[in-house]
Amino acid sequence: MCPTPLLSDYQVHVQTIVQGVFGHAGILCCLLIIVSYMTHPWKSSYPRSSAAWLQFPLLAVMIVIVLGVWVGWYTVSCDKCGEANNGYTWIGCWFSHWSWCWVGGWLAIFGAMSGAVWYNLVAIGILQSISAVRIKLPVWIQATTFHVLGTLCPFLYTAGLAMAEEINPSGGYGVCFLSATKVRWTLSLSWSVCMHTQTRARPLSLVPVLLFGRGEEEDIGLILILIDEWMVISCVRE
Amino acid sequence: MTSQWDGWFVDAVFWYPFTILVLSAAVILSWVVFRIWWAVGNAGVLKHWRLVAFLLYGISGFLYSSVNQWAFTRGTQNSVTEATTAWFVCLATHLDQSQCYEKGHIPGGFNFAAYMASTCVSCSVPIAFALILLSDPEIPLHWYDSFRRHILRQKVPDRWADQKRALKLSRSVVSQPSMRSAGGSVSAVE
Repeated sequence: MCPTPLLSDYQVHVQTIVQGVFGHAGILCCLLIIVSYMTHPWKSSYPRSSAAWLQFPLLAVMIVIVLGVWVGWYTVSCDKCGEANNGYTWIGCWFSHWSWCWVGGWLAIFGAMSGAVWYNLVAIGILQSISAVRIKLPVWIQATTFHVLGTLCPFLYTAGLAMAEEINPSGGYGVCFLSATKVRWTLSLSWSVCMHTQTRARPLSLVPVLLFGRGEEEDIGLILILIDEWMVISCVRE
Repeated sequence: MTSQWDGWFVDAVFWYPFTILVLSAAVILSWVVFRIWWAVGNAGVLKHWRLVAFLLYGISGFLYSSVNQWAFTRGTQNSVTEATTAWFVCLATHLDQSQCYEKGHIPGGFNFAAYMASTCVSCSVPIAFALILLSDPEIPLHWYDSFRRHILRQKVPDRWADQKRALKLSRSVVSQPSMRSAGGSVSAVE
């Protein structure tokens, strides 16, 4: 049964109003900050612009909050792709039709993680401006590094969770999310990928031996071989 | 490769990393505020009230999400499940469903007030950020000048010409370390 009928009609009504009003106010504020900073003569440049870049993940989270108001709580909460036997292999179901639930899950996880990282980056920017601490790199490299850490890394992390089929309907009145009741985590691709890697890519395991197999680095080569052998044994045991 | 998560999966891959990141930002920003206080005292902290407000509200808002997760979601997970299951059993075993609790009002069930409070706190973060960041006089003055310049087509003097020149000079100095060192050696000779 989805969504689980835990809320009364009145509570759903209150939720719709509260999330609709506060969510849209949040979106408006995010956009105001972004436009104000991006059009400003020097607040638009690194590192002052970090405060504006922080608003993009917050905007993603605000969209998650109003998504149910826009498309309806049933649409945003429930998706047949969340069922174990949906007739598709791997994540095929999610790509076979547009899913607000799944998109919302991406936005929620990416927005929260990216927002937390950007908050750190804003803090580092302020720390640089008030102290003698300096990152001795060209400005464009610093700015690019900030974007890699603040945007690209959280996106890849979210993508990794999505590809591992970990974003699923929560059962409540909200977007898909990571399972709160999960007991066993099975990497769905583990066995096939493991065997594929260990059979097709076996010659690659000789690379560390060639690279580190001499002189003082011999120990590193030995450790890498042991790890490789342990992975093979793990695959067989699986 | 399987692992026993016992329901902690969402905490391990989301809530712990998220909370650790927020706490690390709290440490850095606390250090910033401490440095300001150490250097210029209370007057300096008052002068940089936006920074302090940005620190306090952002950290509090972000951390409240984690607190809500562990206090009201994770912490009450078992009791909510038990209460909901008992309610479903009641509905299934009673023809007269008025004998069961009303939907949304199950004792020990889903905490609607906490859920709404968490939503309001999350939404208030960008609202508070907007109030803090946009209260900087530079922002409304820039909007005012832009309105007069681009909409009213008036000739408006650039009130930040000096700052822009200084910024440009600073960038050119940073991008040409050899010139900076050359200048330093010249002044040292003189």
